[in-house]
Amino acid sequence: MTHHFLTRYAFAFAFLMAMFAVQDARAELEIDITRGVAEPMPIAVADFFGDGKGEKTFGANIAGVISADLERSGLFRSADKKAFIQDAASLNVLPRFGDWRIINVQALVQGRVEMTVDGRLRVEFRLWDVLAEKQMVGLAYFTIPSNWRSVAHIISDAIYKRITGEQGYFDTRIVYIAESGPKTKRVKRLAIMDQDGERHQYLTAGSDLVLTPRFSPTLQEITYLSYYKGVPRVYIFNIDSGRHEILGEFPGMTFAPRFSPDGKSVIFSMSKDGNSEVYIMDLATRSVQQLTKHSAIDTSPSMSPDGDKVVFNSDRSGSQQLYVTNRSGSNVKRISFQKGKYATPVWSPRGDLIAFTRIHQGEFFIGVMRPDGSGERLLTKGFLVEAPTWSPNGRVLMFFRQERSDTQGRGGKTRIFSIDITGHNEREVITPGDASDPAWSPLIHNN
Amino acid sequence: MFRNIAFSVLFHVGLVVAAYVGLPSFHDSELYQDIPISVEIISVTDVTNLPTKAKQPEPKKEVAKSEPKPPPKPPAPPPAPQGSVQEPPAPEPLPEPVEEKVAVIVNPEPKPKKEAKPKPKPEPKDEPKKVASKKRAPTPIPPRKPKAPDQFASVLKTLEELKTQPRPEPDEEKKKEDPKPDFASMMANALESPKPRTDIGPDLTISEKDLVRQQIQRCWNLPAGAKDAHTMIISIRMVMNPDGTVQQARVLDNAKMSTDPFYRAMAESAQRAALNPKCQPFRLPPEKFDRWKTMKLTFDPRDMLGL
Repeated sequence: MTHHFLTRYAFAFAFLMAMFAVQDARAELEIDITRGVAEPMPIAVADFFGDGKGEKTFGANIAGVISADLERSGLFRSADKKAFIQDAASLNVLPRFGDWRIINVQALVQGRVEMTVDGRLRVEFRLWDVLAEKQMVGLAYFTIPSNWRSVAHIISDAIYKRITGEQGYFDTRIVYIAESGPKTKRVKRLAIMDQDGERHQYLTAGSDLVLTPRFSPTLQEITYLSYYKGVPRVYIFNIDSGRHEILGEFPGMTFAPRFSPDGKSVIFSMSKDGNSEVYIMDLATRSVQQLTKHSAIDTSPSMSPDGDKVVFNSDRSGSQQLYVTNRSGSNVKRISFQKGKYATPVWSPRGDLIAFTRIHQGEFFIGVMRPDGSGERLLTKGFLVEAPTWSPNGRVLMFFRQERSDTQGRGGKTRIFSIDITGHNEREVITPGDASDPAWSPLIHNN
Repeated sequence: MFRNIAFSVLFHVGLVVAAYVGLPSFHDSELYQDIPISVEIISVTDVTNLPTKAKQPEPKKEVAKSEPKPPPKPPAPPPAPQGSVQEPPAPEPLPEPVEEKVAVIVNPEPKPKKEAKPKPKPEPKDEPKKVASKKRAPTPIPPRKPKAPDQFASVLKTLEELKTQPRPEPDEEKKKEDPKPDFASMMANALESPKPRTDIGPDLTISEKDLVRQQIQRCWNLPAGAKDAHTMIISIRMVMNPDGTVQQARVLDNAKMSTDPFYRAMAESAQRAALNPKCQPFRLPPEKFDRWKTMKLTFDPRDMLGL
């Protein structure tokens, strides 16, 4: 009896030990990775395959634009074509991933160009994950041959979107103020170009002073301020129709008009009896609503993407600071608290950040903060850096940078730059001459 | 056959009954005797935790890994057993942020100023930032020192960067590593044996894990500017080859991959880090292959994103 009892206990003990052993074996090795790097991803953009000579040229040009787009974003590093092992013809069949891994490429873009019977261009591309050996995205487009640049930008956007998870911004335009002539007799013209500086053209002749162009977030429309015959008015210019239209004539001075995110209204500040306040105007009914009411100067408003809130600039505390208020004008809250003055706040289309200019000890900074004022980061600085404008995906900022001029008024070179919100990748956007006040368009084609 | 099954059933029923009937009575009898002992167990575990950590193989490797660690331990015992319990885990995670920080700064070095900017948020000026980044990049050791006296330096830390403080990770590591020693020491106490935790031998040591962690971190190129990137934590299961290369790396939360493009981007960046041949083979002890033939990696970008 006792013997049985003992064996039973022995079995029970063994059973329990086995339980523990199983548990132990199950405890898988876990490693937490809390640090990484923020480096450009190595990507290879092979020339798109084409049968004929013309198609080959298009293929090479399109690949060139895509490669430059991705490279310019700062998130990718285009691999040197000379290092490619696999040729275009065999790549057109299937990538040999080993060949691409050897040259340390993580993503591969490959495609083909065909001329259709009706004279259109058919462009198809595939994006491959070289390490996981699978296709990430593949699409095809038809277009008229002269539009190949747009297609290249659209493909860049598709690649960008697939890899980063957010909308691209390559199929966009920049409108800005092109400046020329001596300081005393400056000519300012409205000009427009692709986001990469290509296809540049002027929109106004330069006879009247133009200021503060702003893109509609939904349409290819621009508002700007023009001193036609010396009277400042806000105009709307439609790019597709080429028409300029007066938005409204307001008593006193009107500054800094900006579209609401839905494109249906315009928010601006207006100076009446020496006091500047923020107003919203409905574009359909032209009815105007006053947002702020304070004896201090309230100016340069910008709306949040959901349209519920407005950030603006006010000196009600004694110095110029940023404030956020509800659309109704209630609940005004100061959000900027660091040293210096703050100006030109712009709400990101993504909603997570507000870009601004900060002036401290004679220096200008471009920075971003969260809408509650936390997480302020200064991205760049200079003698004069001003007028931040967001890419439609809220990832990149453009602004202009003016260099110091000497006592004779020489120098003072003014150029547009772009910078990533991480603070990396500041680059000049090449313009024919001096350029200020950039405004970024939404995506041209809703891809 | 039936006899065997019948025997098995009977045996298990018997086992349960024996456990149900026998164990309580066993406890009962113990309860009377053990009231003082139970007090002892509590105090002993706390005490043993300290010396064992100094003596055991695990801590030794820690010590080998980074010199500043031993100092914090000796000061630990005086305050209180509780403090000492908290401390051992603290040093472990702390060295990581340091090295990692270095890695982060080093990698984006092309533009160190900007990378550095987010960190000294409280100070708007650029110059201090540059200085800070320069200091940090070349000398990884100094930052460690202030971190050893954890709580004393807390003010400095909050000034320098809030990020490193609210790390949930240390807690996780505590959970992972503490239970075993506790259990082991409990067992050891129960058995009154002076040798605790012999079962931990085959486990990977912290420094061994650290090595792999650093290798992978060098290859994790994450979408740092993505929206809500700081809310995404990616788990990846890796199947390893005995030579330390990766046979397969799979994202665990597949459903979210197809619904959230940001998550997918983050997850794929983690997958690429796991698969990137540039960072392989992992420097893992081959004799412990059984321990690391599968691994679960948790990619947590919060610290990198200033939160």
